[in-house]
Amino acid sequence: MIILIAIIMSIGVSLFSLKQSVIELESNYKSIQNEIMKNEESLHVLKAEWSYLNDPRRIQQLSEKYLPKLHGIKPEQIQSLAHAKTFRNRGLDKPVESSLDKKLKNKNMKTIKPKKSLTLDDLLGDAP
Amino acid sequence: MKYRLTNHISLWNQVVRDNHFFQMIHERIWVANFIFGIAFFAICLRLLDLMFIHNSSDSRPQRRHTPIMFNRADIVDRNGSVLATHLVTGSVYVNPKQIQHATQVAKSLIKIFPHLSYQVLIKRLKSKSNFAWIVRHIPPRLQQEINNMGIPGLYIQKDEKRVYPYSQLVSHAIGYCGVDNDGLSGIEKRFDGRLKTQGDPLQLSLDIRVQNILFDELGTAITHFRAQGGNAMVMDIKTGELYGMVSFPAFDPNKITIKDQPSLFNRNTQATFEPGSIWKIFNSAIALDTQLASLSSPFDATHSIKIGRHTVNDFKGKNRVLTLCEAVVYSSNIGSIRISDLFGKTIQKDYLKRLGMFEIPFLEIPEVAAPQIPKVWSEATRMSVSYGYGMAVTPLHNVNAISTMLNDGYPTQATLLKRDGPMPKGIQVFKKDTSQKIRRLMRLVTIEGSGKQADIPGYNIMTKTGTAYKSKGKKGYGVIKERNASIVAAFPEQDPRFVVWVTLDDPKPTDKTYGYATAGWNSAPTSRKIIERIAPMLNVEPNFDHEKPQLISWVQP
Repeated sequence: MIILIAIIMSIGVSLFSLKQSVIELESNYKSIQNEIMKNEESLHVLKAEWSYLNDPRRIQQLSEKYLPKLHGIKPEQIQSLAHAKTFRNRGLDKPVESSLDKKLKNKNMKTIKPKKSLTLDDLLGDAP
Repeated sequence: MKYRLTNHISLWNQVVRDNHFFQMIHERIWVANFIFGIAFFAICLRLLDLMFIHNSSDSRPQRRHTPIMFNRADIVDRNGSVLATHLVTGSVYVNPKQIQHATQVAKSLIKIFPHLSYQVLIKRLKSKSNFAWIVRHIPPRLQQEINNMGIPGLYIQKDEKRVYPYSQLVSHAIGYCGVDNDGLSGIEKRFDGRLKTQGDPLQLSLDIRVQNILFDELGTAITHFRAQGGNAMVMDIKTGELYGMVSFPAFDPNKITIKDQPSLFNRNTQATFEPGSIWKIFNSAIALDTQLASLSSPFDATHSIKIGRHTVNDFKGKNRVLTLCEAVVYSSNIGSIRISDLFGKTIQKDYLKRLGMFEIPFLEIPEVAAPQIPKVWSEATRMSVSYGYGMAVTPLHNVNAISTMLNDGYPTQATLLKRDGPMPKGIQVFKKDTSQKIRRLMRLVTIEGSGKQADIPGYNIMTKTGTAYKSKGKKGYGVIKERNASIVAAFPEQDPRFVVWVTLDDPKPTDKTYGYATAGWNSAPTSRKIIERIAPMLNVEPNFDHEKPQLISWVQP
């Protein structure tokens, strides 16, 4: 008899707590749903704004204003690696002295040793 | 009373002593216990099942879950840039029956929305219905102001407004939506149902960067050459995907007014006009494909030809015998007629049919026009069609056909959607060999012919220009000196990947064109400027080592 009562009691308690947790979850769910809605709305606004700010016309105007010397890539500026090999064979792979190197030399700042630059040989391995 | 009580007790005593009666009660209690026990046990089992065994959330019915979805899906370009999305706005409506002082309400509303008319407001506020819109799609700040007014009968409803962040850039392809978010043209109209039901964005084949370049260069050219309008397209030859499609004048889909009606016209797909010399390419392709002529076959272009009342002459004619190669490169009308003499009108019509010139081309927008085909395909028709007159088609027709010719002869079908797989392979129209010869011919036009100003060293551009007088019905050509100057440019020659189409509607000569207003002087440089900018973007590798084709000239035997 006692066992029976105990079982009934425990079932009652668990049923109650189950119902409570369901109610709690439900309200949680609703608030999360609302939050997602709000976030999604603001995400939409942000997306639209992102697109608007990334308008190529706008970027073009900005680039013309602030980067007047920057122009499109000319076909002569594009080289494939296959062409790079012919460069090396023509002896054009010697490290080129940059303007910074020259400045450093002029000022006799021998303490700073420029790093050995990466040559095409390092990239391509042995010549065929 | 006393008697009855004792009687009752004695009766009870009798009953208590009756074993049989007790047994009966016990039995009944046990039966009841048993039934309840089973029921309880079943409930326990179900509870255990719910709590421990099937307690994962996905076994729960999904009915309560309202998916977070907006009325209309976004439209994005091939790189995911948002071309069309929506913003949550508020719309103000009124229940006129609840309005007490209509004039006061109208006055205070006009303070917030100065663009509203007082008369219209009063009319709406005093109407007999239960509902009337006051103003649609207002930003949060104004919504707050409306709320602060606290006028009974005036309400704000959450609303959505379609927005196009790039405004005019993609106007004709995407189209626009009405105030209730129904697609009214372009992709918006064609995919109205899909955009309303499916939440995921619709991805187009357009590239907003390419679109901008077309818009920029075409706009500049139209202003520079004082043209009435123009259009341009960039298409991937191998997949048919349109990377850009621009038509001028353009409109802003964010704010459509009645004034925009003429600019809704998409010249790329709706404008039918005679393409002019560009069709000489098809003409010679038919001759080459039927093997009735080779690149070096001679055609006499010494004398002009009469078609009915008209006399056909050459623009800057050579007045001598030309090879097929020369006839195309120097764009000889007479030569083209002579070439078409070889195969005749039946074969010509058949090829053009297979190139899709007789039907409405497929594209995912409703605004596509049918070609204008002559009722009777006479010998005169054959002659004029050979150099691109007598039949009016849209630029879309031409771009499809040119791509077909360069794509080893397999039909190209333009699309505005990003393709997942390869293009469906249709029935081959031209032989692969013909396709290669045509590439050579079109490259020669760039090197030696009218496409010189479209050339960019390294990209091996193939071109054909066409400048056609606009026809004015029975009055014929040249009555109005208006022309359509078009160019088709494809690149690179060794492996054609993109085709660019530019048309300028009635361009005028400028100081720098020496009085010329033909396509070679206006559309050609425009196409060069376009390709210069888009080629590095589209990963086209320049090739300076590609062998230049040689012009096959006529030698006196």
